[in-house]
Amino acid sequence: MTILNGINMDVKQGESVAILGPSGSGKSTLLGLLAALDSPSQGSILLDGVALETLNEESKAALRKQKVSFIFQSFMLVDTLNALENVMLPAELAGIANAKEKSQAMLERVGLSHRLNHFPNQLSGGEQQRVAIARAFICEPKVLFADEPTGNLDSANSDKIADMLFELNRESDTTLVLVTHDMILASRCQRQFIMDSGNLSEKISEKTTDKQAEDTELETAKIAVNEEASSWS
Amino acid sequence: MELKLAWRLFKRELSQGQLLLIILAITLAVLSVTGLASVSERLQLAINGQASKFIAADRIINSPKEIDPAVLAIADKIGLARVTSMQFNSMVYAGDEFQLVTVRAVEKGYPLKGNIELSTGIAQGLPSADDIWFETRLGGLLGYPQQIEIGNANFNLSNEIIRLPDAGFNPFASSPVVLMRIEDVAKTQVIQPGSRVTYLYQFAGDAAKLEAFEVQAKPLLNTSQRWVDVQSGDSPIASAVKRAERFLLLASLLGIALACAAIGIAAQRYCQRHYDVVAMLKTFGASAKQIRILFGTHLLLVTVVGVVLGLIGGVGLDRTITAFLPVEIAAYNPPMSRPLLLGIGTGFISAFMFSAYPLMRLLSIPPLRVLQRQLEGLQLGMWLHLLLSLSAMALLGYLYSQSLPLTLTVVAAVLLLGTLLSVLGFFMIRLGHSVGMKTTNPLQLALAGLRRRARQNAVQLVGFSSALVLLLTIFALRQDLLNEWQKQLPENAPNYFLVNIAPEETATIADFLKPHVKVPPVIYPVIRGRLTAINDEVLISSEQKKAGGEGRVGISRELNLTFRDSMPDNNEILSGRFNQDIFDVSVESGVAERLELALGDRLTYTIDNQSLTVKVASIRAVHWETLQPNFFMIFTKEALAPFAYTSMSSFHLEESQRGVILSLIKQFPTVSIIDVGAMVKQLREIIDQVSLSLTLVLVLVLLASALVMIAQTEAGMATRQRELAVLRTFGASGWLLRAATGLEFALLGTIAGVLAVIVAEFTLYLLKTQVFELNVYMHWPWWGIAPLCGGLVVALLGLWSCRQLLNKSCSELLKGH
Repeated sequence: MTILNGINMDVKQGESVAILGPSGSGKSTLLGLLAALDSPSQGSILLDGVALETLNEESKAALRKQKVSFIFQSFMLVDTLNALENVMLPAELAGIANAKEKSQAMLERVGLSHRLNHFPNQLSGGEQQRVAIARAFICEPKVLFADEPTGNLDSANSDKIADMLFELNRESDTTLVLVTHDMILASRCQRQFIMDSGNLSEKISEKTTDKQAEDTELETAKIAVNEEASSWS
Repeated sequence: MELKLAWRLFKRELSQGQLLLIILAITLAVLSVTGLASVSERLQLAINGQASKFIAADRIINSPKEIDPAVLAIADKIGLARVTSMQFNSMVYAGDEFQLVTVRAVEKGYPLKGNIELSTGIAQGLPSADDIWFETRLGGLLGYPQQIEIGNANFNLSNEIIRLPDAGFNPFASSPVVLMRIEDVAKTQVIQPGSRVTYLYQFAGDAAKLEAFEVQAKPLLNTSQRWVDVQSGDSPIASAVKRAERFLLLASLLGIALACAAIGIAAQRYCQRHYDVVAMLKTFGASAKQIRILFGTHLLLVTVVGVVLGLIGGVGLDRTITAFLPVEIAAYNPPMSRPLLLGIGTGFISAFMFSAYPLMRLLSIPPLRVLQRQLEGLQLGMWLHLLLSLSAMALLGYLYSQSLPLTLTVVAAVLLLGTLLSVLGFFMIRLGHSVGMKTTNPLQLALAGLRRRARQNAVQLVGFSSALVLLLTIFALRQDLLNEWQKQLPENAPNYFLVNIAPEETATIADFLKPHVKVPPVIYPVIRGRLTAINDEVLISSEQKKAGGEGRVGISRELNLTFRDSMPDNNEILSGRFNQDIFDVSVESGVAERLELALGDRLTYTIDNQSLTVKVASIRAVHWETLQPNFFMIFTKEALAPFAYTSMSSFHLEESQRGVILSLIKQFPTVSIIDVGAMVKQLREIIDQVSLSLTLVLVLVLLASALVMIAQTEAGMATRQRELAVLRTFGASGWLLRAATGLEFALLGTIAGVLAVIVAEFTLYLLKTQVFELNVYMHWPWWGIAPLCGGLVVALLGLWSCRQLLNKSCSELLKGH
């Protein structure tokens, strides 16, 4: 089954990019490929200059550890670990010193300093996603992939989470690739792509055109995808 | 770092109760192995200890000549206690009276086990020099003299022996026993070159020393020397002990198999629970090695906790049982090292081998699962899992039982169950296609549920049916063994034997006993004779055979022959018809087999220097353990009419009726009375102890079964919740859902019941024919009861574990999922 067709995209360092599209259009598949979680059957993906298709699973894992982080719709926290321990998890995997202190600081940043020892089931959806955001930024990733980060939240919480996400993104100069079908959230990104039945097209708005014009000088293309077809079955 | 993370995960999951099931399963496996092993070792030690009182030692070497001193040197080097004694027949004289006696000459230290019972109580020490102790009836036979003469020496009759511990059980040993010091034998001068003497070398010590002795000494023995232990005798105790030991082994083995199944299921659940964690760790860049170390350590911690708890529980179990055992059994303290090691081995082997496949799948979970939740790891195929599980089970089984037939039986049963399940699973998926998901009829809903969860159900069926198989097998065997023993030893099993009854005394003795006994005793005439030829072919001795002689080897001793009009009650004709013609004989099946006799063969006997030829008319099975007088050969009265005979009988008296015996001795001084009451009592005690352990095993198996079933239903909770949520949303009533859930489990239970009966009958057939030597028969009532009970129990269990889900409102269900 062919899921993605002839996809070509470039995302630059520090850019925020939204991939929009209906359910089943292939957004998540693309995200999996970009984030080195999956391998394309054809085509090429460059992440920070590294061709992902040339890497084996172990090298991909190492790459993710160094450069990539994630936020998920269903938060994906480890139920049995408390908020602090969840945030510490990637830091410890990456062997970062002072993981605990850094995680505490990070949770403070997302306004959860009073919830350090709470377990996911003791936190609200919004709080869980804030823990997930803290976890995502703890390793100072170059690229952050977010899969429907506000999909499970009400509108008030969605706004808060989005604010936090963009703020941290800006501060740490992280590239943000966001998959969503929330138009408002997407509109806060510098560029929007529309995915439809495996075909990707960029939505050109005035704002993005201006922004793109500004960024043309930046030469560090961070993600480049050139995909004829990506199959996944 | 991984270790720290593993520890943190472990600590958290432990405190949140997520590891409860797997730890419980490991604990139960270790507990049952450790507990049962130590209880059964204690019982075995006690049973052997009690039984060894009957041979007054743990081991005996029985020899017609003095044995090689090297053998005794080995015993001394190993540190076994030993005594030497001689036994021979001799005439004793008291004035004009004389009597043939069996002289037992013993050295200081005798008996190593048990006590000599004298009329004055338990003997302390041995007769002093020039004294002998004598069996009560010798006094009657000789007219109660003060002194007797044996060979060239005179002895004082100083004490009456009620019983020697190793007097053995031979109602035909008609001469009374006298006990003297071995040092006194020389002065009697009765032992001359060529005299028939039996040397008895008795040894006692702990199991390890005895084993070492057996290994080193047995090869030094020649063919005329016999190695005797409590189990090598043909006493009824030996067969009871052997079967009980095998049963305990089997029960524990099945217990292990069941606990292993529980571990298997729990391990699978444990791994499934961590799928997301692994996917996430991989997403965040954890290397395969990091994840391997993390989960390896995690599982190790889980296992260690389970093993430690199991060992504590096992020791506790042993102590609890011991507290309920009679003091004389509780006093036996086998070393705990073997049970503990077995427990530890079981814990680690089962935890790791049963987790191997689920763990492999867990480690292969792709990181992409964080986005595509339906993704699971590699499917290596169930065969690998089955192979690993089966080899774990077989390995543990063999380690534990060290019996290949037992282990193979269990493996065969597992294989049959597996085959049946896969056939059934295939049909369940095939046939279920037509069933839709109508939300009105609970039965259709239940059937649809069964089909949708076909794979999961197959796993559940494994659990349910193996639990049932074990339960049925253990239950049936326990019952069969107890029945068998009860049959051998009914409440009024004979505890006294009378021998040497003169023909003219027969009627008076019968009259004398009549008011005192419940069942009038059967009196058997006894005539001694030697079988000399079969179909005119003269029989030879085993020595002649060895020397190259041609022909059939006969029976080296004189046989006790009897005559009767009808067949004894506890005998059973295997072929032919019981004596019809005057010169018919009925032969016991064991002897018939050994002598290769067939119906119609002509047997020639020499009785009182006369020859008698008879024809084999029937072959009989005899229950030797019944403590009734039994005979190899039964003739017609007419055939044996020309020969002189004495008679024998057996009867039962209560403990309170000892006075009867005393007046019997007075009234019939020449009749020999053999008291086997103590042996019967011991045998009964042994059976009681074993029944207790059998019941205990049953309870443990029940516990393990319950655990497996709970583990099973727990495993399917998440998908069930999702389905219930959907059904609730679409308006299914609480009653409908409850009925459908109950029915679904009931159907599963019923299927498991049918499978269980098939496999249990098969297993019992193998066990009874290959291991226990019991009668095979079908348990027809089970074919109804097992499916019914299976359905009921599983339905209740299922409803119980789903009760929270079933009581939840629609929104709660949706939220939960």
